[in-house]
Amino acid sequence: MKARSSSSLQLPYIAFVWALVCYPANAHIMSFDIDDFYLGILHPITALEHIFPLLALGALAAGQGRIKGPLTTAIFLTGLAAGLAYGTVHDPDSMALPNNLNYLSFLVFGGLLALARPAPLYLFLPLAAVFGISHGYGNGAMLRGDMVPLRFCNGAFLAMVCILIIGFLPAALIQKPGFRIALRVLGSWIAAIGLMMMALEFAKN
Amino acid sequence: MKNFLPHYPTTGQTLVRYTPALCIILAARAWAHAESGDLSGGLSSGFMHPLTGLDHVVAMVAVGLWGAQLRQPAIWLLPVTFPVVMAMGGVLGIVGLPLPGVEIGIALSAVVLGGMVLAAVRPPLAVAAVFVGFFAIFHGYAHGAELPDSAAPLAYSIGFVTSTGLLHASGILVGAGIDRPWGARLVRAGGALVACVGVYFLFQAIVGS
Repeated sequence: MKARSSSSLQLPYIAFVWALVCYPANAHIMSFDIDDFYLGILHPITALEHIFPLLALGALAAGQGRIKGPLTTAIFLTGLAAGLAYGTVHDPDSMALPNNLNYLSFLVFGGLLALARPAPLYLFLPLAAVFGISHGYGNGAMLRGDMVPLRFCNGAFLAMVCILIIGFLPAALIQKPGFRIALRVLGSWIAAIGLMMMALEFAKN
Repeated sequence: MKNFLPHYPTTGQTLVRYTPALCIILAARAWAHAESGDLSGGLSSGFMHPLTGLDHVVAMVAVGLWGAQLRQPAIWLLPVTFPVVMAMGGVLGIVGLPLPGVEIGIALSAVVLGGMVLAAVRPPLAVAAVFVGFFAIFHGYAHGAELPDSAAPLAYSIGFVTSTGLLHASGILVGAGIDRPWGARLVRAGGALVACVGVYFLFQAIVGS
């Protein structure tokens, strides 16, 4: 069987990323019913503090093995759903704690990606749950009074799953040494950003 | 004889292939929220911050050049550790802890790192990492000190970390030709240029202070 070249693997990936990044026509919404769902999709993909940790987690899950990777992702998604639900009903006095946890997820996920080491399960699972809740809460709390919560949350959840997949796919499919190194570099960038943002939140408070 | 081996793209081809996607991703459109300020402005100003300081530029390129000279694993280890150590310097700048001689430290980084490349010094990896890490703190401090004033600090930090990493990559790309007959000379010439720029800025920093 002819082996697939790396260029044939890159093309679908590029097309997928392109399709997600290229914003569709925003002239109007055809149906009022999908308005909140669409806004839910838009929210995490237009918020930098959600994109990068999710990309890092997706890439990280690809290297954690056949059991640990899916398990961690499932735990994270469960926390995400819970956080989304809680965020829609809870009126926060301050977003400091969720923001700090989200920036901590930059540091943890990015750092683990940079280290390129499997994380111990007893540490990784609770962290994934906590960060899932914080990222979910960060989206759910942005629900406006006139929105339908379920539609908004479904859209946000779907978008975050897509971001995870975007992070996961190339890390799982491309095994070239140069790409593995690029992932580690990306992880260190994400960790560095998280470290600085945590310091900024600390300085503000 | 026909080559049946799969064709893997070269580094240059890969860059050409991914640059349009990267430009699109970096061309920030309307962002939802998270920061009250202009996110695209924060991203671009953060990205431009290292680029508008020639002392930053040459020092970051020198890290890439030196990594290429030191070969594996330094060629990737230095760009992996640099951002994190730089962020630690950034933390000092953000919380407002005093760090004397930041501009002198940045200029000195260009002088020392350029000199290392020029002389093709190959210390043990740990020593090289300490050198690079020490100077990374000064660079990070300079970027981090401006972070609180930014209207979009997250976008700003993403911008300057990305810019710094790309400067490393440019140094590594130049250094990738080190095995060619002219490659080693080119790299050392690059080091000489970096060191000269560093001397200029060091002079400016000392005279200015």
